[in-house]
Amino acid sequence: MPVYFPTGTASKIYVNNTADQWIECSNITTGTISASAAAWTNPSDQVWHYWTTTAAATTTITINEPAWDAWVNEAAYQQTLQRRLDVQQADQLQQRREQHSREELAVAQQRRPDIATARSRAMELLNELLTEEERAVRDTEQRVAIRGSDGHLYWLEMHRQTVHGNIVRTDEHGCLLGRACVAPAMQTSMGALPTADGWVGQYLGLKFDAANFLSHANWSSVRRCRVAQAA
Amino acid sequence: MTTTAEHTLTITDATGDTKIIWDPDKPDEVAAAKAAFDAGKKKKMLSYSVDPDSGARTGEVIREFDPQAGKIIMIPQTRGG
Repeated sequence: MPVYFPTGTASKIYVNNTADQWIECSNITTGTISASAAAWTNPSDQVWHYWTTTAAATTTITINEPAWDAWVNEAAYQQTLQRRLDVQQADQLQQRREQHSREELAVAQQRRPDIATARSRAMELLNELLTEEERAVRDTEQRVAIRGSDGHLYWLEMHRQTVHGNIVRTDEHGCLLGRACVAPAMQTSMGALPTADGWVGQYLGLKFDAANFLSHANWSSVRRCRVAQAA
Repeated sequence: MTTTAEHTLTITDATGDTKIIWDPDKPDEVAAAKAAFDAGKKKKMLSYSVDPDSGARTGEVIREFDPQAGKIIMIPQTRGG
């Protein structure tokens, strides 16, 4: 803040008054200021000098503060952007984790000499549980639609032959609302379970115990229904 | 499986699954099935009872062995991936 020197016979009290006025002015948005500052000179700040010498009469000052508004808007934008980046980063991390788990499980499954038989038995169990309609959809689309016991609609995806990140929460519009990674523990002390056993666990968990089952889930790609947002 | 009167406990495992069939009127078979069920529960496996005739149109989580249940399926405990 510049220092203003009184001229003539002005005393220190006037300096303080000027500073007080300035502080008061700078904090208001709308107001009326009376100033009698013709006796003041400012050796270095021409703007201040101009204001003090021309504002002798009652002057109404309105400060719109566009810079403040812009700053607030920019800050909000930056926060939104940061949130999006955080979500994207979290999704990417989760996808990497799922990929790692897929590869690890595949290696463990291949270690079993009887994996082909195990796969066949597990698929047979899954077929016993699926209804005729569900089997038909599974055969054509490589996924099964499940109305969870929590009321939500889910797709159990099978096209990637995995239990990691293959549960999609959807809605009546077909919007993807999130992807869950949750499954039975696939690796036991006796060896790795075939993938279809994992699907059996996911199917039963969603259908009869969704809230508890999904309480273990790691979610990614979580978003809102596009149709509802557009409405 | 040829009749709906069969009562089956299916425990998923690395071989695909292990099935135990019992007749509710035969105590030794019931005891064997219950022992397998309890062993699974000790490993914190989850158990579902489903309708044996309609796939899994209806079903529920069970915590105790039910000799009258038509089809019980046991699954390893759930984990987030």
